[in-house]
Amino acid sequence: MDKLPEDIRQLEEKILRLKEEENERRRPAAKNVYAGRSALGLRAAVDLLSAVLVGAAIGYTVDRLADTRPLFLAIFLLFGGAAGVLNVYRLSKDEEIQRQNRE
Amino acid sequence: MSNPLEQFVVKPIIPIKVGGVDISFTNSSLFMLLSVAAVALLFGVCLYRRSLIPGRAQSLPECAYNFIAGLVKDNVGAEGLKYFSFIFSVFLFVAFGNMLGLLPYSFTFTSHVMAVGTLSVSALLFNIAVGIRKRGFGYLRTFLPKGIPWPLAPLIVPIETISLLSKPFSLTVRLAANMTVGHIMLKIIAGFVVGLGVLGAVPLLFDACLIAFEFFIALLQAFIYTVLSCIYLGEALRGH
Repeated sequence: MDKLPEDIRQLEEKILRLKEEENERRRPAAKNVYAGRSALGLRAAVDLLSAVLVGAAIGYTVDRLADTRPLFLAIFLLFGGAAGVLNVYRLSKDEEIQRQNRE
Repeated sequence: MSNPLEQFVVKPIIPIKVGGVDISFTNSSLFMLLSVAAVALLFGVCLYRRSLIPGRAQSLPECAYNFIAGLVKDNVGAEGLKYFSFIFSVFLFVAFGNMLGLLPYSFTFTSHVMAVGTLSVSALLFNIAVGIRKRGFGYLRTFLPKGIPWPLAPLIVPIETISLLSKPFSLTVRLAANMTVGHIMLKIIAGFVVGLGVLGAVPLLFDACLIAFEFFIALLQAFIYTVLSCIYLGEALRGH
């Protein structure tokens, strides 16, 4: 009669111990900071460049249609540059918010 | 050594021409269909026998489902779950396209700017439609955020428009460039294997490591593509 609770108690201890071990093992490993940062940097670079290229494409198309080369190409290159900086600004802002949320 | 770019050539399988426009069924289309078929097959087979406690086969689609659902919840919010089916389809399509492309003799349609670009542009159109439906005329605030005085509109509106249009472009370039570079590298290094004779074991070993890395990249890029789609969808729903 007394044997059963003893068994259960041991089982419970075993479960607790294993759970702790498992939690220890599942704790997220220290993230590779370098990989995360470089991915972010690459994203910033692509965002910056793509806006300039899209601006240039719009300017070039408008110039082709209106036969005003290179007026709009010059204007939209500047707009594209500004949009690129805006993209990167928003990216870093979002990243900042996310980092604050994590802490 | 064969040309490392040869693997990216789009070849028509069933030539179709309608009114001078070439809409042939190409190897690219074939692999898009194969990718959809593979997803349908995997889900059909794995979820054929459903039980409350998932077996090994059933837990695979369920894991993918939970993973993307978590992603949507984190990046778009609970209201984003309405558009879950779209995001999930995009993820599976891109992920399977990347993975199928790694099989020998296959074609990687995700390495083509045109294929990925069309997907990105349709995602952008979807975002705009969702944004307009959700916020009505308020969606136009995307182009002139709150707190900006009217006289600045001629400056801000083009900048915001370009910023919006650059999103599908950057998505496309990132995915296509990653896939292209990986495949070219594999092919070039594989070209050394035969030429170097006994020493060819070195590039062979290197290629073996590289292909494992490429599988990782294939999934990672599908994941990044999906995360960014989620972020852009969230922006369309809420504004900046």
